[in-house]
Amino acid sequence: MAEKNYYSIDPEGKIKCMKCKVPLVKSGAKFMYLDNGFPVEMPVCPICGFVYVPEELALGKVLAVEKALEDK
Amino acid sequence: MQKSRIDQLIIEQEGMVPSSREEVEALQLKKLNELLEREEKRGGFYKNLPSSLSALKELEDLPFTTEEDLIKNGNRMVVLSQAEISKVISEQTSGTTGAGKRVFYTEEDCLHTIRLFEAGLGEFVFPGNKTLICMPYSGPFGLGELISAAIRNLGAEPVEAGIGKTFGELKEILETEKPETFVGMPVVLLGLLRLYGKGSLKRALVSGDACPEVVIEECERILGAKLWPHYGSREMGLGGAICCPAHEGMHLRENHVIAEIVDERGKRVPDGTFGELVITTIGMQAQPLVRYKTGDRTRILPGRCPCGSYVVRLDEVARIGASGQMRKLDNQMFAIKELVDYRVSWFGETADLEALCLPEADIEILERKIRQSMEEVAGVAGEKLQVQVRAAKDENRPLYAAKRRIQDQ
Repeated sequence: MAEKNYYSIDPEGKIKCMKCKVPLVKSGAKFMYLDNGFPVEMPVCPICGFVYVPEELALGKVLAVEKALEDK
Repeated sequence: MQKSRIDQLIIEQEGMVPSSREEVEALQLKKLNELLEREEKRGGFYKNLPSSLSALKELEDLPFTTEEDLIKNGNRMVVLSQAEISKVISEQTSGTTGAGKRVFYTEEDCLHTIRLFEAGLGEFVFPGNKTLICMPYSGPFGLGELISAAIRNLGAEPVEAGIGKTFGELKEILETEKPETFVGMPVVLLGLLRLYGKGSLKRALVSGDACPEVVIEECERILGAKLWPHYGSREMGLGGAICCPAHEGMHLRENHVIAEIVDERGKRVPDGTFGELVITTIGMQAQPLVRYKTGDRTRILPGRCPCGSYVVRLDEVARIGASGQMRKLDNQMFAIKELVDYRVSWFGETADLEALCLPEADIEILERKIRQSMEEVAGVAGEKLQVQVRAAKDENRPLYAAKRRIQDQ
């Protein structure tokens, strides 16, 4: 069975890696936080592997999940 | 009398013997200056502070860090990469939308906490003992998990009851496991002692909540032994101050925390005077804080401890503000010997009080005593006070899973 992706972003060729000068592609990645892992699909550079996380995602859903996982 | 085990901890962790106040304070100044220098180089939250102080007294000239600072800038106060963080405690603060205080820890911070717990527990938990732990278990480096690790390191066995068990479940654990020692919140311990007697229990450490005087006295009377109170806060890594055989206050882990007591104007007060506890957490790896106002009220007990340690002692600690009323109420209410637990909620000007009592108690008399206490302390009576008293049954739970507070609905 395919692993569930918690989030998926397709850059559609619109985002470029500044270092490698190539468009990012949709690829598998994993968000890790305090021993918890979440497979996602993010824009990734096919050459250097850089993963692009949009700011609104980092400060939105990712932050909410971090707080849910943290001790209270 | 044996010296507080805090001294041995400082020797192990710092390679120095705390044999005078001057030596303790010299160590604190050294670690504080290391922190200030690091912050200046890092360009961190505290970058505008002096990079070095020539005397510990100069700490008084530095600005305070408030809870609001921690809420808004907690991330900027983390001095390491997020990859080195092993634990985070976050909370929602009432009155703010979405924002909450977050405190970060490395694995090393957590291991230091385990060592501090060992020092405190080691005063009365011996190899082969069983320790009933009624604190929350929440996963790797959770509070319960840290206590269990300390208990194991002492060669004893943790009985991990956690929180949320019914009185009946706890009774079964007590009868099956027969623990000699207990770690948990004071009113939970009192409820168990009043309902089931001391049984196998001989000694107890209470923490996690303020400990009203009457609750201490009653627990000690039934147990036949002095309690071992402990003080800790999230900002100092949960472990902060431990009791010694003198049972006069709690020794602060001064190689990790510099304590000051300040008045309402923010001015430092002499030892022996009550005020707000302000901490500088020189030993925290992930998120050290400078002059953090804890919101806790206590005092530094003057002079050297009868145990011989030069490490400062904190007196009993209580939250400043609204929870003062909870403490007064607890002292009044738990003087009623048939009371197992109670909870108060406010609905505007009306109070709702729910109480659990011993099965043999006269509920009518008990309700009268409860009403009298509420009128004396909270000024609420007659129709403005709804009281429901029932005999505690096995399926009941302690009425507060966490810190006791009067709830505003």
